[in-house]
Amino acid sequence: MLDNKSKIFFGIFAFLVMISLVATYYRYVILKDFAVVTDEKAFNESLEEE
Amino acid sequence: METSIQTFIDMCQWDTSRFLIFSNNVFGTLIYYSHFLALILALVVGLFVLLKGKNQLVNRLLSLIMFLFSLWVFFDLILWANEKDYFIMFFWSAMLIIEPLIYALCVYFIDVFIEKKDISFKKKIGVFSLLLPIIVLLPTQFSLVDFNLTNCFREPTEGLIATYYVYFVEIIYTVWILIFAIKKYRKSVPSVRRQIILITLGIILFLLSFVSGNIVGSFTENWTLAQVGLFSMPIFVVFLAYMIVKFKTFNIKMLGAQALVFALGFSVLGITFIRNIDNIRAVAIATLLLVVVVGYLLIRGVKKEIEAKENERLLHEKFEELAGRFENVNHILAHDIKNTLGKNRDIFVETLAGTFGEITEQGKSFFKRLNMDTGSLIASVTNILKSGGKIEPNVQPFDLKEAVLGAVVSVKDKADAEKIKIETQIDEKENYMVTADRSLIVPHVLNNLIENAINYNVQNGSVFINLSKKDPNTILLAIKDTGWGMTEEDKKNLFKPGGHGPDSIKKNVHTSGFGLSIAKETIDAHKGKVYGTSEGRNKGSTFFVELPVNFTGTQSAIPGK
Repeated sequence: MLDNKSKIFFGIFAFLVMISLVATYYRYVILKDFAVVTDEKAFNESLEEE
Repeated sequence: METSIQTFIDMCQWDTSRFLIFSNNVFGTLIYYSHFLALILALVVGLFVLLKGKNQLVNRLLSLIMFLFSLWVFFDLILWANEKDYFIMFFWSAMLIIEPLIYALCVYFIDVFIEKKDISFKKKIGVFSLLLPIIVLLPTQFSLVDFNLTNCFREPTEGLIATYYVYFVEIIYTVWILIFAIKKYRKSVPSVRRQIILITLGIILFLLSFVSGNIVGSFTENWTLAQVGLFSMPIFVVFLAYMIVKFKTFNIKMLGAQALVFALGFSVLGITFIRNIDNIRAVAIATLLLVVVVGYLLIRGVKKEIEAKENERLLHEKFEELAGRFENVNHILAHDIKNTLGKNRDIFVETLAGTFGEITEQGKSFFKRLNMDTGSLIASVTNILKSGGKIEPNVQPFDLKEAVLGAVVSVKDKADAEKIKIETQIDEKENYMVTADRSLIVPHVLNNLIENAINYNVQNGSVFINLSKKDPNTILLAIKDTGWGMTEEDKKNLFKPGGHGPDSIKKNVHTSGFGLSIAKETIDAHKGKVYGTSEGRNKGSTFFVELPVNFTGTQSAIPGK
């Protein structure tokens, strides 16, 4: 099985991934901090294509 | 601005999802079918592998890959069904880290699977540090720039990380796996090569099932067809089954049968919910693929098992026959040959002692020779008989020094006949009392090793016997000769039954090839050590015996026995 050094390494790695996901969740889902790009002309063309 | 965005959203007429994943935004039931099949199969296999060997690193890695894959599939389904821009931004981001993480774990997994040990710490850092830019930049605009509402596709605009870096890392990991597999393939024996090919093929197919969806969808704009990628799961299941068989944790036929029944049931159930005939065809083709692959493996597995059982039966019959013959040979050796040889030796001893009258000096020399040869033959027969049974020492304290000196006296005539000089070096101040089975140590270890030193010596050669204490609890006996010596090939089979070297019979016609193996078994039974060294042919040999002073075996009920 894993030695102690590896356990610490993977512990830190998993922690970083979790922090990154929580930060992403906080930004997009809680704060809704993202731009929504709209372009009426392009949108209408897109609808026509569909 | 808000009104404007809401207008666009209204125009898209997106359905409101229930439980994140159920909505009319998913335009084909085939998507549910492909995702649920992959998700449930991955979860079941992941859980199964974990339960079968939760302490094994390779099992844990495989389970983790399976669980992350299930999560990836679930998030993908949310992206198909959900209409909320913030959820799409989050789950799209989450998939950006999960996907390359699965690739990294596959690199780790294949290394551990082939090498049968954990990878080095440096390699771990090398593999996982490639993911750091993604982890750090995930919540930033380098991953996702914005939510694109210039059409109704419900997609974000991807940044540098999502567009280039994730694919770059995935290509690196794929190449890493391929280079590692090729390297190991070149260094391996044919039987291992097959395993390496299959494991690599399985992993590459599995990883392709991720990217194939994106590739097919991007090139054809047909996202229903892109679901074919997830249907490569049956191939992946076959690959898993093969690997788990290598772990020897369960029966492949059992898994195959369960997977087949489960998949067929799921397929039939799925078809009842599909309205579009094209989608039914796609499901039927995927099911057929599963039936062909798993069914073929099942039939082949059953066929092999029947063959193996038949071979086992034949081997058992052969074994019974050989055991019967061995019994007969044993009986003949023990009762006919050994007893007759014993009687002959008694006659020679009595003749030498003058019981049957005076004999000439020439006659004495002749009978002495006969006596020695018969003694060697009896020793050989005893060794062969002893090799059939388990050695169980019946211990009593005795003086090993006295036993060694006694063994030297018993071979003196033989040594004199070959003009071999025996020198003993024993530290008189030391105490050499041991608790061991004298009836085993003297004939099978001392006599065997000292006789070997004479039998494999040269005329006018020497034998040096040294008795000392290695430490307060261990006696060390060293028997060195100036004779035949040993090659590297001889050393490999030295203590194996019948393991005498190919030329040894030329040197010692009485060799049975069992002497050293019985000596080792005897010393092992006393928790000691025996080993031999030689610098090569004609450079002599030295044998060492390490015997514990206080071995606690079965104590003899009869003192002195």
